[in-house]
Amino acid sequence: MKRSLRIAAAALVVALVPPAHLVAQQTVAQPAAAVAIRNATIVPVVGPRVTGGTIVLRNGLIEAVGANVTVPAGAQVIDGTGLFVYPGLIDSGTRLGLTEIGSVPGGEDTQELGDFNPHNDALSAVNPSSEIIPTVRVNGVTTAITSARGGVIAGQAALIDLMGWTPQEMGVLPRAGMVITFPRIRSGRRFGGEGGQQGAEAQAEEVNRQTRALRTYLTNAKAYAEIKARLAAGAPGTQEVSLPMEAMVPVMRGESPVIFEVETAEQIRGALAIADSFRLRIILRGARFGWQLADTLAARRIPVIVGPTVSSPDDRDPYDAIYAYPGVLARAGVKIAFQTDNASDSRNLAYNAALSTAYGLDPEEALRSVTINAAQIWGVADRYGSLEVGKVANVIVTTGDPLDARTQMRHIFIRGQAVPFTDRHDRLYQQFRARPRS
Amino acid sequence: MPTLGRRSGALSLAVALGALSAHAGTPARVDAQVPAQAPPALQAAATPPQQTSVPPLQAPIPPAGRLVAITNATVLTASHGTIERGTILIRDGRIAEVGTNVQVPAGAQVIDGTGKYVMPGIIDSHAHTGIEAVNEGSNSVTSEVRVEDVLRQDGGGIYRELAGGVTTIQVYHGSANTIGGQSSTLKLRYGLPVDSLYFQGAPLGLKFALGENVRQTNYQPQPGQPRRYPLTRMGVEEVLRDAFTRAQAYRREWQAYETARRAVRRGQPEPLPPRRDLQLDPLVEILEGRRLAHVHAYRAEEMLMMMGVARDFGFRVASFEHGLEGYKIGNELAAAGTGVSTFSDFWAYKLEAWDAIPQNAALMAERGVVVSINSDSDERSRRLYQEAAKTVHYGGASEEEALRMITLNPARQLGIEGRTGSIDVGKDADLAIFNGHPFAPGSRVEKTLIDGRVFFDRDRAPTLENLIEQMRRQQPRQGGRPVTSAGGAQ
Amino acid sequence: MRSLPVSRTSSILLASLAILAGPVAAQDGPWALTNARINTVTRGVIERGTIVIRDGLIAAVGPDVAAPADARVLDLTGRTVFPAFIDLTSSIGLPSTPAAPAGRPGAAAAATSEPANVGLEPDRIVADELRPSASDVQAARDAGFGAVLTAPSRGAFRGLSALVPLRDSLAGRHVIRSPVALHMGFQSAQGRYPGTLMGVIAYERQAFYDARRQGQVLERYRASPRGMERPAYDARLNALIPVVRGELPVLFAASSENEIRRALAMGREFNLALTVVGAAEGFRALDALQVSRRPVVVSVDFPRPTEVTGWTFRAGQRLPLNDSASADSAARRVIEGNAAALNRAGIRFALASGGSLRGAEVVTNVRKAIAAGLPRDVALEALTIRPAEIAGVAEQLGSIEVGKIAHLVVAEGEPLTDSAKVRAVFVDGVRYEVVAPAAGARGGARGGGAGAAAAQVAGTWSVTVNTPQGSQSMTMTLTQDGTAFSGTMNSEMGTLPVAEGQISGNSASWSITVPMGGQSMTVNFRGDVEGNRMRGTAELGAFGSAPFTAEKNP
Repeated sequence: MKRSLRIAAAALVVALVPPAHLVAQQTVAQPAAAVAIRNATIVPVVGPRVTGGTIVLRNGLIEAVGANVTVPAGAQVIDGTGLFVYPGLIDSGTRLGLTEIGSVPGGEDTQELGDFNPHNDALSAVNPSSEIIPTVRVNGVTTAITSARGGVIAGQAALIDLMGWTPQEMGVLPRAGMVITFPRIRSGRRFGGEGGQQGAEAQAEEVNRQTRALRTYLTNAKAYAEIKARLAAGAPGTQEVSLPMEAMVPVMRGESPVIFEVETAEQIRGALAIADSFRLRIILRGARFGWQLADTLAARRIPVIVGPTVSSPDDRDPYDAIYAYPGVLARAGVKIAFQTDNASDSRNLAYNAALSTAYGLDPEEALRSVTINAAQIWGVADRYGSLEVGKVANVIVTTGDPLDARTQMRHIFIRGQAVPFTDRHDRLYQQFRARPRS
Repeated sequence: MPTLGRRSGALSLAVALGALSAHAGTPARVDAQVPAQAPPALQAAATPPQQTSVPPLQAPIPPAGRLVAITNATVLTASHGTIERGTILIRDGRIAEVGTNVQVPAGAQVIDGTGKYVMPGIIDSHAHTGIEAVNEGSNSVTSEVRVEDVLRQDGGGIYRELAGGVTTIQVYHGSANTIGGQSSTLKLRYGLPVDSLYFQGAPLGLKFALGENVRQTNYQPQPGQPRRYPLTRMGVEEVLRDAFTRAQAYRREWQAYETARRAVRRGQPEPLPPRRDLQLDPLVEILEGRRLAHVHAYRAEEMLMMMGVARDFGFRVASFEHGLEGYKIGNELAAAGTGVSTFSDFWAYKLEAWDAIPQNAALMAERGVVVSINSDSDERSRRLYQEAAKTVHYGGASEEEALRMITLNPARQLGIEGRTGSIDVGKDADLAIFNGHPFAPGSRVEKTLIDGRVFFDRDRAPTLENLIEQMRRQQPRQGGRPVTSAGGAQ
Repeated sequence: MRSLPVSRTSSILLASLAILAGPVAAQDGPWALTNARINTVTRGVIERGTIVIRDGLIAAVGPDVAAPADARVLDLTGRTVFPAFIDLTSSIGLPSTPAAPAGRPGAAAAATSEPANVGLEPDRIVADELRPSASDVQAARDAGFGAVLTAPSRGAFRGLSALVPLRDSLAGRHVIRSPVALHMGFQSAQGRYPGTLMGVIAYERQAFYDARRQGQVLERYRASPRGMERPAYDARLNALIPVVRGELPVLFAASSENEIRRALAMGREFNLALTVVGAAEGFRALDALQVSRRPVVVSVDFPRPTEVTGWTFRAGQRLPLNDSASADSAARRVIEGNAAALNRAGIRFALASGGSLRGAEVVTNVRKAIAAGLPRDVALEALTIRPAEIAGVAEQLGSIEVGKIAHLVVAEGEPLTDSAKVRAVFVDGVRYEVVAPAAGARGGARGGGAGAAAAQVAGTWSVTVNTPQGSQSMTMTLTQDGTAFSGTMNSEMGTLPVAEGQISGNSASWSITVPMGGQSMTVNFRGDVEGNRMRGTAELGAFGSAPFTAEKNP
């Protein structure tokens, strides 16, 4: 082929192949048989640290980890001298993939109309090409719960790894829990003001009405599930299929947990009462005033998703109430895991936990609450949450404690694949860093 | 009926009402439950620390910082590095000495800084705390309104900022219109009346705003209410140029009047002064360099537009607030001597924040722009130290640079660097004492001083730990499993 | 009208004609109020004396005044007579401020697309709009009020007020004085600039600068119009000129500490003859009020503790648990002690309703202010001669002196005491009898529910708790506000605050927290009230309960 034609052909090929950095979900080309990070401080979370240790990832899993691990032949070796290896962080409450630019409604899938939407599953609406997801995972968050909010029953939350070509590929648990928000006073001032007494009474009445509505809904769902079981066992008759009721069946059978959004002690007691009435498995989320019931929650082994700590207490609460309550729960024996309740802010998961360590949360417990505790709460502790042989290779390599805002991420692996540090922010950074000085 | 234990100095009501179960060793359960069986015999219980009682509707006022010494601490000066095992001597509210060999005079109030870190009090250069109104957004130009007219001294937000190490805030009008209103620099002297919150001698400021908030493109207007001009960024520029043109004309009118008045001869009538226009007065002050222009802006092109307007009318923009695309025009900003006060990593909430990057601050600083990190939120204001740490993470700013972004740099942007923003002899004793490096996880503020007075002290502050302890004492319990107490925090 | 002995019928006829014909004249002929205990307010108390009323004025007053032959004689043995109260914070006769912009009666109703000027009307003359409701007039008068200053209750420039007598069929021609003052406030306009407090203050300041200049311009134009551009005609600006010259006073509604300081600052900036009205937090701004050397109009519409500046300082303090109730009562004492604090600081003031309280509630609240330390005679002055001074009618009203307008209250008992009952009120010399409400009812506090059936527990009780260990005596002193009450319980343990005192029908419940060497126990009381007796149960936490009885000291 003539030289000029060859050059033109090459140029055409280059032009046609999309530049690597434009593909948000890019993964590296098929890696070498294994990846090994050598001579680093390994922090498995479930066991003691190992200095000068090695971890080997292969086929998406952790193949070996510890002090005397042999690096397999042909492995891609990363020198971990001076670095630390942690499990990938898990955010137990986000809207990742369901929101993009907050003020642009077209990209917002976080809240459906109507109060009862148990049949809405978050996973299928997750946008794998969201620009926000790469910015989150480059700060060490590898797995997250994502869900819609609002109404009374918002639908099923999903547990996703922050990497994959399709939502289904990203999904770890397509149905991680049914999001139910305990009825609450929506607005209005707490002290005095116009309507003071009457306003408060009217709001209390409204909350009672909504609570009754929720109980009625659950009662109907329970009946539906029982009829379905009897028919399945062979009893004669038919049942008209109702998608919302179908969605509630695993919840009423205790197979799928309820993620109960609560705030005050009264709401928490209400949620516990509902759990008792209907024998539901519940996980509390938010629970800012859960510290008032810490012992009860611990005795009943109810896990609590705490945070975000980047939030203000009311004037009448102690100034550090939000920072300190996770520590109170943890010390009482409650299993806690952190959430950011956000998307773009999910990258700050570890810093939320860090704020709590300044106000009573033990730093080791804080680390557990963004790794193994979360895995246990979501029922995936056999695969996630720590550096153990056989678990999914969600691994982060850092310059220090991930809770320290000054720490840098050096390498991130999700299911054994390396995460490129080419998110939107890095691209713009490099682009404008290269602008000539005047 | 419970058995009664012996008690020295029996109080008859106590006898009549029965004994309380008091078992100093076993902490009670935190949550309120129905009490169980018969309580044990009474034991002498420890008396709680005396609370100095504060009259209702007041706050405790700390004693003046006549002579205070903070000893043996790690001092992060922000201006000349870190001093290990340093001592700061404060006299009459000012820093008198800083160093490792400072003699502490007799009679000084000594704060032991062993193991602690002292940094300059944090300056939050963009706040809306402590005001009864934020946005006079009815008209496009409302430079006549003043934030100082609506200050309120008793908000919880002020206290929580102190608890986060903040000592000075710049309170702004909101961003609802192109020219919003006159700003106010305050020191957070919680408990004192409004007049005592002013940062005496701070330069005057005026708040401008560009972009989506001003154009009101993110919400629907009320039915029947027409949209307010301007709807586009071009319109915003027009409003600015029109306002400054009017200000120039107004200024000329007054200059002509002054000239005519001086030229009046005996027996002639004095000329009538022009109408005094409270809206144009602050704009004239900006033209004459006697008032700082602070401009809320996001996009690079609108910041360039504003700098162009400033150049045309002969003034300098003191700072862009937020300036999330500032990293794109670092050259121009540095050349104009305009600072940027920005977020660390907040983005994606509206279209003009879509190109925001967390490396913004570091990249602009590299180009020589004076950069500060602000909060624009009561909630973020109380953890600005963590926000500043993020600039080390993103873009590789040094810890020294990051510290300056919440101390000396905002001081420079507000024109108060002669008085505060670093730990230097002669400056106001505005200090925050942490139990660890401010950027380390696990660090929190122990004390915050303004002019040498301790306005926040965690030992006296209402904390969750303290509340739980009180609740525990009020609900004495017997039996139950011994809980490792929630009161045993660090 | 001459005091000729004519038959009653013809005197009534003549009186009616007089009304149709000319100046305002008393209807029921001359009066002689005899054998009364007369509190003149300015000239001391006359133990037993006579007041002669003629033509609506006080014709004579003294211990030795003889009743004229043509006067109707009222033997007021056992009764007290004092000047009728004056309330400077009324809006009687004006439409209540509409939520949606609407013009005042008579003005063209503004289309919704035009910005309304409600609240920005310094030229609005209240005397031209009066349309009072009979029940409003009566409610105030029955509590002892004879005249009120009426002005719109919201806005920045509210209008020019009128002092009006509380007579039935009140009409514009009865107005005692208009304009009394320009009323101002800090409320913003609806749907237009200024929309916030910041805007209102800037707007007011600009208006004053403009008015000052307008005054200069008009003066110059009037002196020599030739060659001078004609100044624009602006009714609103013109109305402000006397204000900015200090010739027309300003009554500025300012209640919180910061509002008071802002109002005073504006007064200083423009040398206004400014009087602060409301001043519910005057106790927090004594320094500024003293320096201003101007009297204050103090409202007795007490704000709730949670609304007062400084309540949220609690966010920065370690407080005892469950202390909001005792903090609440402590704050209430301070709030009710506002007038007493101003008095101690040497500040002259009038007391006023605040605009929302009904007549009887005003008197109740004045009594609370007295209980909180305001001397009763100062309170009486503050309801009579001080408001008259502030309204510029001290020569006509506010005390019982010869020649003043006959605004009088005839009462059983001394004014402003618990046992006082208004029997009749004279307005412009016309006698209005007051039908006494049921004893014990206090006019119904806002937010309460139980009305006349609510048990009354205010007072001092002797409480006996019967425990198996023996009976324990305590005294309890309570004050009541609607269905809530507070106070203290005294015993050998000391004085403990009563918390969460609530009345429901005939039952009362409250609690005290007993500190005992580092621990504390809450005792909950619940009892049934029958007149001066109570019986019920005291809950002693883990240790069961004990019955109690209580008797109120008469």
